[in-house]
Amino acid sequence: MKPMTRRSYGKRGQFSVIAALLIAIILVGAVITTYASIRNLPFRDQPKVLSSLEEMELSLKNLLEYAVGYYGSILQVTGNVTYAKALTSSYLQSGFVYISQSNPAWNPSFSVNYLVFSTCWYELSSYSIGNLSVTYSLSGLGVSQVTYQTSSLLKVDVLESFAGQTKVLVTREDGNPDLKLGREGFFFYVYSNSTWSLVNPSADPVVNPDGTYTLQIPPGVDADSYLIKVCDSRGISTTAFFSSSGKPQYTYTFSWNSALYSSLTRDTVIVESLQNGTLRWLGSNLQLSTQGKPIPPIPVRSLRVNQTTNGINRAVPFQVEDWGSSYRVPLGLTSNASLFGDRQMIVFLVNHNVQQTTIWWDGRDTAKQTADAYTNRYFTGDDPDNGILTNGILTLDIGSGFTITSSINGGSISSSTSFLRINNDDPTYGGGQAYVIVNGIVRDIVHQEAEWSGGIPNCPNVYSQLVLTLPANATYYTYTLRTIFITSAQSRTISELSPLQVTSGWAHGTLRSFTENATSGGLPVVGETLAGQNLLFYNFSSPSTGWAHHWSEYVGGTDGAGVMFNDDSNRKLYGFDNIAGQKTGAVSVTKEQRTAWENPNSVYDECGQDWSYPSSNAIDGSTSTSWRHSSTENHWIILDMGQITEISRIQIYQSSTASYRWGQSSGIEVYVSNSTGSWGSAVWTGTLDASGWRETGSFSARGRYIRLYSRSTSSSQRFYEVEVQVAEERVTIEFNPVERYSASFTYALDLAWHGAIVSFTSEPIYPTVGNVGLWVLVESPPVVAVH
Amino acid sequence: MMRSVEIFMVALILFSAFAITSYFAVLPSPRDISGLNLRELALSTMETLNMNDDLAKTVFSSTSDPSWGTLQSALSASLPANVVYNLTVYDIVTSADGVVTYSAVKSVSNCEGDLGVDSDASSHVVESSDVTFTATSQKIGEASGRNITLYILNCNDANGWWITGYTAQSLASDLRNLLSPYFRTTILVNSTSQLGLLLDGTALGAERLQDAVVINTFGEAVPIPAGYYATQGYDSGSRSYARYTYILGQRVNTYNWTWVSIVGYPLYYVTNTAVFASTQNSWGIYGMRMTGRDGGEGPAGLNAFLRGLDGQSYSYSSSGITGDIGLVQFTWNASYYSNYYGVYPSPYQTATRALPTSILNTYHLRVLPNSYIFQVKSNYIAGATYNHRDSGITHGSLTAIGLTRTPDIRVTALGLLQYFHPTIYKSELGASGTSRLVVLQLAVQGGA
Repeated sequence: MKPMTRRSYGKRGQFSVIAALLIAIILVGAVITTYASIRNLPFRDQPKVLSSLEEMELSLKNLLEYAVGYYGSILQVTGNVTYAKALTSSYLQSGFVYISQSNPAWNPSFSVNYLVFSTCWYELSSYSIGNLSVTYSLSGLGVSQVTYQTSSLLKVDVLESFAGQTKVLVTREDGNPDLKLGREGFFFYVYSNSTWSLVNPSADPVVNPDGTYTLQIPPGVDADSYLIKVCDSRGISTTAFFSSSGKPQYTYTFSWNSALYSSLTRDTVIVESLQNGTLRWLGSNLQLSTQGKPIPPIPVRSLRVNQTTNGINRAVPFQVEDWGSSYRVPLGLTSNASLFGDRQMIVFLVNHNVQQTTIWWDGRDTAKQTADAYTNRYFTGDDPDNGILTNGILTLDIGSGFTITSSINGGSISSSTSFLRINNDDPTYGGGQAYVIVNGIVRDIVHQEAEWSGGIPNCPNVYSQLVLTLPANATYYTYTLRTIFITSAQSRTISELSPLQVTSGWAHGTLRSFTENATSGGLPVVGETLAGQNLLFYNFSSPSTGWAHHWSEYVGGTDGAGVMFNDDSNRKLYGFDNIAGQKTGAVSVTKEQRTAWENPNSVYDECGQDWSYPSSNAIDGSTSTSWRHSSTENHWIILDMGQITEISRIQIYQSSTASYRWGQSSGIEVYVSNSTGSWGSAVWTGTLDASGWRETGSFSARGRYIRLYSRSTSSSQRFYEVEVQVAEERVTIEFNPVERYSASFTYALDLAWHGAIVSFTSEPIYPTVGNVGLWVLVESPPVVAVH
Repeated sequence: MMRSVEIFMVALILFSAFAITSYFAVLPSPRDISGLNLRELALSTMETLNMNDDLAKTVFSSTSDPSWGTLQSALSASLPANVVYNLTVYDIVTSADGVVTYSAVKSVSNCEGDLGVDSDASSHVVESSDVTFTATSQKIGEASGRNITLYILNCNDANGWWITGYTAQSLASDLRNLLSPYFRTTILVNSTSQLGLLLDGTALGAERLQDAVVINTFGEAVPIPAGYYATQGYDSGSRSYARYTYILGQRVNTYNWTWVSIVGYPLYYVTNTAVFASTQNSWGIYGMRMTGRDGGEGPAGLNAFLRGLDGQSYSYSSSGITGDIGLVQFTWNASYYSNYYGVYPSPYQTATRALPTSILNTYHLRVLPNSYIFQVKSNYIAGATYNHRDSGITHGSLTAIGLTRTPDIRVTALGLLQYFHPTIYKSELGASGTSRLVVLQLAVQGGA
């Protein structure tokens, strides 16, 4: 058994060695295989793919940041958001192409899921933001359909302003504060010489861990309201606005002289708000009790105007206008894509019931222009093809020679105005007027140039310009009349310079003519021009005693018209006094009287009429037709003059056949009355028994209706025609800076006169009783505080 | 004994197996994967460097700016000691036909020579602030390497006509404010004698005369210098100054000027308060007269100008060529550039002095599509820039805006801008002059 056992042991020893070999082989093989795999299999490339994804997403993130900055840069040039977004999207697409070209081995492709750019600027809390979701593939790396979302935000909150400093919070997306800005990242808007410039703070800001920066406000910046632009390291900018009111707005608070204004109903005036903060009113600057506020370069589409009237705040119509040459040349309504600048003005209406007007803006790039800025409410009757402009209350008819006839609804007295007569030479208007704004929102504007064929006698080298505006709700239109005398090598002597002549034309009855001739206690002292007079109002042209010719008017009953002009233009009435060496400037008022034969307006009644011989034949202007009433009785006819009229004589046309003559040898009685029910005594009685026109004797009567009574009862008498001799008066008001003495000069002189031509039915420039009138608009404008 | 041997052999086998296993069971060297880390390291380093916008600022600074040294220091501090770098900045240049080329601007490195094949790199595009938070206009002519001067006629010894509400001087001031940001040099020509110098080919200062833009602010009148131009410019045969406008056309051709007529009938009057001291324009404005025969026949001025521009021989013609075509409307291009430059005159204007399309053939003129301000109406062009072409090359241009009276200078500005279309903001990422590519290449010292 032992050998067998030994052999058995020997076999077990061999087996152990073999087992050890196998274990060794397996161990070595497994290790080599495993580590070889680790070294050589694609697993090694995994970090490279991850790095590529990271680089790609960084590129996309940067691309969005650049695009948001790019969007902002476009919005600093135009307010056209659609255009800006289109350009920015195009820019972003070019970025995708660029990324693809930069990494051709990856073969990137992109699909944008959504892309949003948005800004809200010019507010206390402002931001610029972009959101992008894009799905991309890197087929070169075997990566597909990776969706990446990113956002880029720069938000600026102006927290407070104090002691020449401002505190601003700057945050990025996810609310993270941006703590890396230096002074060069902040820009304050400084307004000077019609231009906004950007100024960095003089010192680096103090920055707190929460992202608030404390900055010194540079000199020249209004610490109560300012724009501050923040530009971060990514190229994104945001412009915020601070106002002590806490809102993106300026509020104009009007202080009215209630004693003078409270009972007015037609005191609507246009206010022009210029970029530099000036408020203009009838051509002159309104007095501000606070510092004016320049209007920021915000998109016109963002602008809004609200008013507080009798305690109620509401949005009101307004318009933004383009002007050239320092607000002297009207160019039209402003495109809503424009940014507000020194060629624009905001125009709105006020009256004494308006306590506050607020200009505010919606800083979002999604803000649309309000309908209040483009809806035509008042000027629907404009017809420029026929020279008609109307605000629904006052109608202007622009006739040949640029003569403006204005008439007010329900008024009986119109006015006709001509312009720029120099040395008795009326201008021509070869170019025709330019209707710069028709169907306006709060006013229409007409622009015109006067020319003088062959030149003005003794007055060479003159250009001129006329700007008329018709405000909504007003009973007047405004004028700006400008003469530009350029340096002249020729002598230039002006014996007469009349920028405007307002005339009533010949009007029935009596007109009274009043002109301000001084002031006393802040109220006008009135001078009256009587019939046959030509009065020159010139003798108050002294700064020490005041300027007291601000208006002149004519009134017939309660109707009338006139001209009024502000203090500045009142001074310019005397703009040639120094040149002439005498007081030459004057308001010249002429009142004339005459009589004229007129047909009555209509036949009010008659005793009867035959078929084919109606009573209307008596006033049809023809002496070959007649009114007949084949009845044996006293004939009578009542004529309507249409208005109360001064009547001094009647004439009727009589037949050559004696039996046809009206009244025959029995005679005629004439009655005049304002009422058809009460005639009183005859104003004239007599016979007109001869052929042709036969006149009554002279009498003096005043009334609307005339009753002619035939003492004859003959049925054969006929009435061919009647005319009434009426008294007419005409008042002409001229604004004449050169009137009494000639002025000679050769140097350059650029003068503009502003004012308003008023028509009225019940609310005159100055009343015949009391002192409430539109004169206060030019003599006592409101004082305005701006906040 | 046998068992001892077996045990020894087993032990030997197992030891050998472990020894062999140990030899093979070694993890890849960090250097083997260092290429991957280098790329990421490069990327993160550039991110870090640009966190405060320092990288962007530096790469757009001049190559001698000290900030490059600061950048180099920052790189050295940011990278491990055994990592060497080479940071190269490339300017991206896009040619007119869209081909993008990269030209190295500057390179900073802490290693001499090539970093080797085991190096890795990351790239980063940096945009200048010109395309982001600022909108700075390219100067006209800059793209083509020409410094184009803007001359605005502001002659104090001349008078304007058909410029209602303005004087030539006020127009000059307005135009300067509006257009000077787009020109490297803007010069007001303050007298007719200065204009004479320009016509003689003498610059008023250091500005470049050739290729200039000359805006005539005098409306339908054109200033005429005394002396040579008033003498040689007088055509005794027709007793007119059409020969002056003919010479003017020649000069525009010679100097390749763009002559700009802002309103009305171009060159209808000639003006010089000394030369025409006792002559008026029939409207009381002295110092000017109609260009044509005996102080009439104003159209002769433009006809002669066009002949001069075209190199034709001088001849007198008083035929009126403009048309009154009434309301005209902006072209698509004009509307586009209104948005681009933020200049918004009314897109509807009244044209009473539009030029006929027939002059294109007669005088070898061309209007590029982007140069039409208003749509062509009834074969008349209310506003455009006309290039005079000779052998395929432009020799002088005329911008004529035939609107009525009151000039809106924004139309003039828009017409010039859409013709020259200086860039305010680049339309593409990576566009010339606004973008630079930064490549940071890293390698481990000693190789992989």
